[in-house]
Amino acid sequence: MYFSINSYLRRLRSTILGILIISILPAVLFGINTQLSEQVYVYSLKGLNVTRNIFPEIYSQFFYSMTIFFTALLIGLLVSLTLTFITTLLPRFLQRMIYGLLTLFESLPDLFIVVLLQVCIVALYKKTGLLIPFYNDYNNPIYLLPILVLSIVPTIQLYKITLLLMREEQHKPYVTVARAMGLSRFYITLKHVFRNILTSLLQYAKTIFVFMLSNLFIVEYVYNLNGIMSLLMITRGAAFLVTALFIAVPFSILFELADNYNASVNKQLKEKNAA
Amino acid sequence: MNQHVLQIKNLHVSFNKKKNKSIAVNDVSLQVEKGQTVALIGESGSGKSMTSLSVLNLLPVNGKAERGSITFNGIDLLKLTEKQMRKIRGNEISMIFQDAIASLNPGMKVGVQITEGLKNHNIITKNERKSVALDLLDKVGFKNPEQVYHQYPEQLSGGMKQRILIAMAVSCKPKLIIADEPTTSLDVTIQRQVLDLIDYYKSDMDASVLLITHDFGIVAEYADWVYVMLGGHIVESADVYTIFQNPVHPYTKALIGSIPRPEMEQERLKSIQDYTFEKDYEGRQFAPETYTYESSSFQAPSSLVEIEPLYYVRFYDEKRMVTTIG
Amino acid sequence: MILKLAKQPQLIIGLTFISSILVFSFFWTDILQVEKTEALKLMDFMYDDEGKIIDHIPYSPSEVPPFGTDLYGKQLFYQIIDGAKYTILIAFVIAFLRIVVSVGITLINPRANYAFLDDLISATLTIPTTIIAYIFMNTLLIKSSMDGKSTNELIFLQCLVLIGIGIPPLISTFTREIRGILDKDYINNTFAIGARKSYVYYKHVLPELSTRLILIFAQQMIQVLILLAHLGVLAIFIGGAQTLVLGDPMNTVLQDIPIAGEWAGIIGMSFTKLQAAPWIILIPLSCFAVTILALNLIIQGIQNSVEETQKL
Repeated sequence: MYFSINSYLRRLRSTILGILIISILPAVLFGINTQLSEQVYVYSLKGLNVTRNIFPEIYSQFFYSMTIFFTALLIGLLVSLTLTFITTLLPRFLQRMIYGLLTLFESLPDLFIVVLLQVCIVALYKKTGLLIPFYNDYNNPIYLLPILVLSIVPTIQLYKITLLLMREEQHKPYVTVARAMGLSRFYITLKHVFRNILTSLLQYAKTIFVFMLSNLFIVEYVYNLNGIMSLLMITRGAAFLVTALFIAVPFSILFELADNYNASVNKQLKEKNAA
Repeated sequence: MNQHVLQIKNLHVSFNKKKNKSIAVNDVSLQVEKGQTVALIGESGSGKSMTSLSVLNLLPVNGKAERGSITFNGIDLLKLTEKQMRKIRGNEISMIFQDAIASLNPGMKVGVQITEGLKNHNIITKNERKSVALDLLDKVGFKNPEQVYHQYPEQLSGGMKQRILIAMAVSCKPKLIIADEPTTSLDVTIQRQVLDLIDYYKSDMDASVLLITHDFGIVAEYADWVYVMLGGHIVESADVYTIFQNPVHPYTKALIGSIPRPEMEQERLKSIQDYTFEKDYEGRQFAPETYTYESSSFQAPSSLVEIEPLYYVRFYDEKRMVTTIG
Repeated sequence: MILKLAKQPQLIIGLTFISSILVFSFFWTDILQVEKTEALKLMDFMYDDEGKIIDHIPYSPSEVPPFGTDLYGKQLFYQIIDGAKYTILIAFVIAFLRIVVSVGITLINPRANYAFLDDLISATLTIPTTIIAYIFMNTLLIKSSMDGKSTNELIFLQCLVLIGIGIPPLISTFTREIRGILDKDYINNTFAIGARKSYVYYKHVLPELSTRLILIFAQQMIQVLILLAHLGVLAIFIGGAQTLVLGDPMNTVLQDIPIAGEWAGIIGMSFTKLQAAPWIILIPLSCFAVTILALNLIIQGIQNSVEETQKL
């Protein structure tokens, strides 16, 4: 219902064209050939003149990054929903305070959060000897820290969105009807409001994915992780294209689903307004 | 006969906005007797919905029932805790809301929603749920309840939704149904069906109905007793025959005058012109005697006067304000 | 409109904050009564009263209040103040030009569908903007080092890149907005009584778009600031870098030092020394955060006032 293979292929073609334009444009604009002269499937590490094939290592890099990405997303979702639920049971002035704080946190650049945590964890290690592995070992990639760090930004965003949606949803007539039938607020929040919010949340999926991808890059760079995003930064030419495709192919499916879902929601809204 | 199911005495409801306080319901008293349909009629913003919401203690967060009492079968509802109130809601008093389209949760099956109240008051168990729901759907006139049970609200028409809401409201066999403009959002053709359903339930279960509306046509057909509300006050109350034959308060006259009567040759239907609000729109408080917005005449002290036994009309205390027209 | 905006406390706080930072940044030498060269001089070693060396660079905020020094002994506080004007003005100019150019392109033909723009946008969804900017900037830096371009020329080209990166998504936003306005009935009315296109754009479309434009402008500024910070971490500086020879003669170290004093440069310059001197990174980053917060307050204030007018 929300997915058609044709429209997905169209999107993918469009994305590939876009990536092509991006990878060729600098060379065309500035008239030097650093981009295209690189050998196919080979990239050079900056500074050192080492050339390496991106295959087959790219598979493990890809899965590593995606594991971090989706675990972080899941954690962000669970934490933010739990927090929202707790928040709705709090008195109103506390709710307002939390909302204000969230607006504040939202202003923090992701880079700031990532760097601050890095510094804090090292300081913690120095003080107490409590070791959260923060240094990436080539053979032994770290998971815990990047997942935690990457989950912070979506948690804040989702928390704010769900709070807003919750506030909107709680004033809808059906909640009053349910209350008039003698249902408790706890029950209504859990059974009615929350379920409806979950579906509305899907509308924001695309924005959150885009934010998280950008955040993933920063996390990988700052923590020196060997993931797909850091590969994307150092590859050129055909290697860049292949790496970009590794991200584009699966994520285009997600974007396609999100877009189609939004379109169907908007259509329903329009019909409702017309009626 | 003198068995009050619901008695509201001197109810004041006010709203706290950012700085000022606005009074929505001002010294309202009314009573509903067993087996009666009592109509509360008035224009939008006159406070009739707020009166009904305060019965179930469902006022919006910034609203508050300040003074007065609401007694239901001898219990003062305003003094109950939220937990005690929940036992009354749906079980003893239930409510039918005006916006049928928005009053059902779009993400939940109709059948499940109907029986939620029953389930919550522990009247039925989980296994009985479906059979009870089908029974209720059948009662409100669905020809194929099995199918409707599994549908979502968006698949139903406005009239069907309103019938679902009625099924929900009567599911726990309440003693009093508050119907808050149950026909406003419906087509004229369905209005009758919905009202008949409510009326049928009333006579079937020997319950009472508090019917809130702005349509005098409905009142004439279904109500036994009429309260006319304006700007938070009750301005006239009497049984339905008296009020139709001999309306005294100019606002009531205007309302009755605005019912189209094809059998009578009339130049033009009367209307209350609203250009007078353009200047200063403030809760539509205006003085009906002059059909103008003049706060001085509106805020003049007034009181209900019993002009005949059980027939109350609101008059201004000082005669100089009263200038009847028409 | 302006009167209503003036009643929004958040907006006032945000605007006051940003403008006072700007004023301070331009006139700090007069306000604090210090010589600029003196304040920004390098301090290699710290001596006690007897002239003994007690500490070496970089000094932490507790040693040299309030913010400490950078890796080469320049006082961070003065650097930050001095860099504020560059940072904010660069973000301002880039965001402004992005909007002007994309509104202009959109107005040429609001009904046009630029297929390659859609391609670019769908690609930018998967590739983070920072990486795209990095690719462009890196190529530009290589090119300019080969050609020996002057700093001003480089800054100009870099700004062009930063502007260009933001334009495709903006064009798609504005196309949607302007089409929405053009589809309204009163526009048809105006055309029906014989108005020229330019008149309709000038008199109806732009005024209706104005609040949105201000909002988008503030959002763009935030995006540019974030992008600048990211690029700083990737050691791409606005205005390029000057290679400094440091260390003792036996053991020279080449170090890139950004020429323009904006905050991202301060971050990028010492990013590799994050563990040794975290304050050099964290303090400019907090400055970014605070500026972004101020911009967010402005956005919030405008949105609140719009909501209030809609409620009435």
